[in-house]
Amino acid sequence: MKLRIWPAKTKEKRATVLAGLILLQAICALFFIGDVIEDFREDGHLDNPHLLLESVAAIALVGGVIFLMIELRGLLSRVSDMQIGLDIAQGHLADIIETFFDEWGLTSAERDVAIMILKGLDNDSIAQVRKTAAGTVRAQATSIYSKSGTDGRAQFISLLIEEFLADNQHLGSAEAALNAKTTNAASPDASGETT
Amino acid sequence: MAAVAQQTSGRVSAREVAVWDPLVRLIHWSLALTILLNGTFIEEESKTHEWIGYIALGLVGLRLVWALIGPKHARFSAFPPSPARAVNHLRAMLSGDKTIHLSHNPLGALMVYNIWASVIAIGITGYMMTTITFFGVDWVEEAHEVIFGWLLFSVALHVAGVAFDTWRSGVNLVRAMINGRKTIPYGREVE
Amino acid sequence: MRKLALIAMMALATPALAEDVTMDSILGTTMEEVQASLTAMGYEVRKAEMEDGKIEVYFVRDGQMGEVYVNPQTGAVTKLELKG
Repeated sequence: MKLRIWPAKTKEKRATVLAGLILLQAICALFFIGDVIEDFREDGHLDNPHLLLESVAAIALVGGVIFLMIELRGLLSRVSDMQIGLDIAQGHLADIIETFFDEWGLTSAERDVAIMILKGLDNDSIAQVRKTAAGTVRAQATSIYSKSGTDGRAQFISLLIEEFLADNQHLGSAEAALNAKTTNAASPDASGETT
Repeated sequence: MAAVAQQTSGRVSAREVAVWDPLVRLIHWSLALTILLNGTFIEEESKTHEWIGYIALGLVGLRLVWALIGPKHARFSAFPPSPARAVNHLRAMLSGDKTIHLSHNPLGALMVYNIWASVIAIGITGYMMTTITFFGVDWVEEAHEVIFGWLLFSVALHVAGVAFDTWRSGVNLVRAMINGRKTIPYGREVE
Repeated sequence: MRKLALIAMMALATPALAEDVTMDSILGTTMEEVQASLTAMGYEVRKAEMEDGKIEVYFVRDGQMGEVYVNPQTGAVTKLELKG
């Protein structure tokens, strides 16, 4: 399953560019408006074609600013929706993992080690991160494989991947989003943020 | 453990929330720059000084429009001007309440309205000084200078407030105003 | 002696002829003198202060704003800014 991370980054870059353009256009509008005001103060009337052009430019720029602001708001809300979807998917994955760990009766230390195995760390690296002996990690890993009914690292990893892949068809859909929200005491992300 | 936990499930890690959109951040730092320039390097009686002043006015104007039509956290509704709320927030902080505000907290809200109002007042008095009616009129020039002094004091208070709130809440507020995201420590309620 | 000369000059100036302040003008060695000179020339004096050791006066006339800097030692104009 493709967790579409980079389109979000691209959208964020676009949002930043939009913001910059809004600022630039606003300053240009300011420039023309200032000119019109100054000329008006000197002449007292606005029929000079030069002034007319400047007024039109100012109005166009202000219109552009408002339009781009609305565009930017829309873009940001799409990014936010994507992020929520992603959070829910990640929360969903986290819940699946938790369910398995509960089923297998892994201790909390074993859970930590199991996650790191899934992340691809070897026993020595795990020992370093946890600041324990490599022997301790080996013992914990053995317990994990035994409890999960797997032969070793490779089988353990593939067991979970299979589960994620099996659930794949649900992860992208709105249904799953709704289900994830209502079924679980979900991740802090979904419940913690209030309006 | 913390380093790994950060990347696994949402359960045991801090979480990142997108709060400040690019326009809010851009306006914030641009405004800070205009205040810095006009307050220090740029000569007072120069055209550049005037133009930077008008740009500052424009930036505040832009922000006010954005506060009307922008995304959730940028809007007035997310940080209403309310001394009552500010007092409540103060009380809550003193009694150890650790709730984190995603947008400006009530005290911070008062500060931003203060800063915007000050910039507007400074800009308007500045413009007035270029008009025949108010050219060389003492009170306009005085007001311009006095309010600017107040602004500098407010900015100092603002910086101190940000530092304090960063320490108290555990949320890096300066970084949030740079990359837009607040990292909420695990287990904290947000509002 | 200079003061007498100045007063004499002002007495001779006819109100109908509005004289313009220029870079060559001699306006006075004190704030009061400079203000008086400008007023006699038909300018409305808005503000006078010392700036960088010079006498600075803001004035308005016929929709035109201006600032003049005068050397208090010589009474001569050192800088003149006319706006609008």
